[in-house]
Amino acid sequence: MAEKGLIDFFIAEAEEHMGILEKGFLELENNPEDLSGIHELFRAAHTLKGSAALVKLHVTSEVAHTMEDLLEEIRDQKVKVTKDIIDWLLHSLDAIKFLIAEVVRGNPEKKEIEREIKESLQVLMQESTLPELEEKEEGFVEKRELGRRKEDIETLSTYIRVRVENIEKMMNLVGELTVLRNYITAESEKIFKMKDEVDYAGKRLLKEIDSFSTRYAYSIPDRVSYVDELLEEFRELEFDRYDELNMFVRKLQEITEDITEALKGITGFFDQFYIHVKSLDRLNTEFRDLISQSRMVEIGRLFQRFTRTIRDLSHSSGKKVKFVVSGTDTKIDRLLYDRLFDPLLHLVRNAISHGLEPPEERLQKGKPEEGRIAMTARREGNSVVIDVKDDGRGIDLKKVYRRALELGFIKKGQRVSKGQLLGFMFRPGFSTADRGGALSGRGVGLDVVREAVSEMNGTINVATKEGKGTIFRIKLPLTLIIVNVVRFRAGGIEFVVPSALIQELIEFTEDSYDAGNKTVRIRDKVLEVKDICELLCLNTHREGGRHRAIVFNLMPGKELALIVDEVTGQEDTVIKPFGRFLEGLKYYSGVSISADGRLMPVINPATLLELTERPQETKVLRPDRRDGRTVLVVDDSLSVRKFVSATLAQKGYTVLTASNGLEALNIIDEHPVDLIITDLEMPVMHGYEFLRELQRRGLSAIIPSVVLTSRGSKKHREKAMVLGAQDYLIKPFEEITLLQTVRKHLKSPTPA
Amino acid sequence: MDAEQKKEDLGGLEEVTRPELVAVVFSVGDREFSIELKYLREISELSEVVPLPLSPHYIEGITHLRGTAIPVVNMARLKDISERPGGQRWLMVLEVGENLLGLVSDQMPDLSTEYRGEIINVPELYETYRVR
Repeated sequence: MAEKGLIDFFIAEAEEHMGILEKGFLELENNPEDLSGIHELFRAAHTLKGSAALVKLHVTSEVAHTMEDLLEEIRDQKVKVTKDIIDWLLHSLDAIKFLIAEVVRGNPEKKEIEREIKESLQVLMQESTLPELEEKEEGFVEKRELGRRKEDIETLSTYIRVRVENIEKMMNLVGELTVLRNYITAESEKIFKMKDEVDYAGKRLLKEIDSFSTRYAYSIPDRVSYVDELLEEFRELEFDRYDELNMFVRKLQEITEDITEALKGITGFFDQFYIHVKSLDRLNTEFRDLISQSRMVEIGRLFQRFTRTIRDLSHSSGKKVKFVVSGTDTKIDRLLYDRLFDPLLHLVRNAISHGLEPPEERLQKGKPEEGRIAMTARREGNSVVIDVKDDGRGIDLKKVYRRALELGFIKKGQRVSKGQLLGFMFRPGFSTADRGGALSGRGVGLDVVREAVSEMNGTINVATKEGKGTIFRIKLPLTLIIVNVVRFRAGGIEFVVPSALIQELIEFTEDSYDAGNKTVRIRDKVLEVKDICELLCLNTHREGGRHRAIVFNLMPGKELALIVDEVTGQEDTVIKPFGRFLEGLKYYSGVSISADGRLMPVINPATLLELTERPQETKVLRPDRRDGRTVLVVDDSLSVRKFVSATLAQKGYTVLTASNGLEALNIIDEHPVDLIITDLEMPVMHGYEFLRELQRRGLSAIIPSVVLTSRGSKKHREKAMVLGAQDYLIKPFEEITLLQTVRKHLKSPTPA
Repeated sequence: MDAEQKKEDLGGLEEVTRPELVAVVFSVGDREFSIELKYLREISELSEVVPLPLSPHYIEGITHLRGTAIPVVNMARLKDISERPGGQRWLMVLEVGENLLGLVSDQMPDLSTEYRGEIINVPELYETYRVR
């Protein structure tokens, strides 16, 4: 039996397929002639077979297989649907349920069931080849009681399938709740403070009045200011007399007592309220954790996806590779799961093509012939740490040095630490050292990996030892939606930055700061310093000779202190990405709404600090002005692209090309386009999908599109027009027709 | 009977001639602009706008409307018009497909039965000026 986690997934999935099968069988029973649903049943049995085998439930898989075979014969109309057949199908479905229920209880599969099912089918098939002689009283081996067996389903029902989208929505709601909770907590703290002040003031008042009243509550005889005839017979000490002062003091005493009572009430209320706020806080955290958990997936499944890749790479590279994984039950956010594959794939490819030596070389070095790539995962506090480790030759630091020199990262003869050298590999343009790497190739370097990781609010580090191997370590936050951030102020604006990216917060004075070299000495380290106000062209608001800075370690070996005006706090918050309008502002990763309801831009240190590395580059963002004659040609055929481009370019149009819809959308994202010419049949994203996407984005209204296809039917044309195409050209086409059409649809006059 | 008849007629007449609102008209400095009404989601008084350093000059920043962050475009800066100094400003929240965009007007925008001033094509504005 496979590990528990996988089994759980299987059960959740199996339940769905069994539901389909059960429903389908019953429909078939009611309507044996109607085979329209048989494909779905066949597929369900087929998938069930496959996934059962995957989790090593072989008996279950075999039963499903037998079922699949029968369904196939029904589908191909080799077998007629009879009551017996339906009975058998339901019976074997029950058998599967029983098998799975046993597994849930922790028992092994019962082997006999497979035999029984197979034999019963054989009997059935023999019978069904005979003409129906008599109405059978009961189905064979009918063990099924009347009515559906509810308990079978219930043993499995500890799992249901939930749309990821729903969990996302819940998570977003929890995010909103967190923000609200932050607000309430912050506000109630203010109220508690006020309460304490009122409390204190009340006590002081009481004390004053008390001492005042002991002095003045009883009058001094010679100061009695009025005469009461009735009391004349009494001497001073025989009857209490009151003057105005006495009265006032007594009143004060009374009022103070009332206030004290009220204060007690308020205190009681606030004590209670405080408890409620606390429990709201706790519930929110619990709620968040639970929902986070439900979106968590075991990383083992992700690791598993590399088994195949590594086998293929090992074959094609001629290197023997053993792939080991550990910590597979570590759970990560589903969002991270999806986004981690590419960066990990890149690291694995690197490890095989650059890290591991060919078998002969390994043997010479006295290493086992088979190279080893290990992927491990573990949880560290609120982070997940993933290592990709190989036991290859390690990173050639000399090569890295030469390349860094070539690229001008360092000057000749400059001394750099090992850490710094390794850091260079993550810079854009560094690319992979060996050009020959057909495996890693693909034109992406470690900078892309780093970027992908930093988009997930994570960090990447590397350690290497010559001849021993290399470890890449990725550290990611547990969840992406609710993020702990540090708030800081610069130039009068409050920003936040995810705490996961921060190494430490420091404070230093002028004497440890070397303003010329822009470095600061902290303990035994010298750090490079950047000033956020200089980067963002803001006026500083600082006082005294003290600097506050946030230290980032985004690239291995490169710590950087970012000076800010003031660090204002830390909180859990929701980061909302900018919408489409601002998504090009890459120095920010979105916006956060603080406890007090204010918006704070979220700084993306990875890109912001990169900006500082190339100060000569002036980054002035401005919108691309349309020249009114840029045509995007989308066709999977290179010759069509070439021909159309050449024709248009000759007439002075600017031409961009894409080989499918998706590529085209990316181009539209990056460049202004005035007219689109698109094919219909293309891989990845076909023309109709592309047109529909343009429509959905509201682009059809501003960028006219013309379809250019070999499909001439009315049906094809109409569909394109419905999806917002403005014209329809059929291949082969005349140059002149193309030019006329382009001219017709471009708003601005032709250049030539 | 007769009176009732008349009333009905008048009712019908009123319905036929009721002018249809087509645009939101707003002004920036001394210039007037119109936007097709279907793009308008709501109008509110402009509260705090958080600036985004290093963004294009016409982007005033972001503001929020009941928890949703909205980019705010300053038409005066976009069209090179001198803004009316001080005073209350209004935010027009526009809907472009699934996205929201805020435009600032320095007078209370007006729902109108006709277009006045320069007509702004919202999707085009959005595509032209979004940060790529």
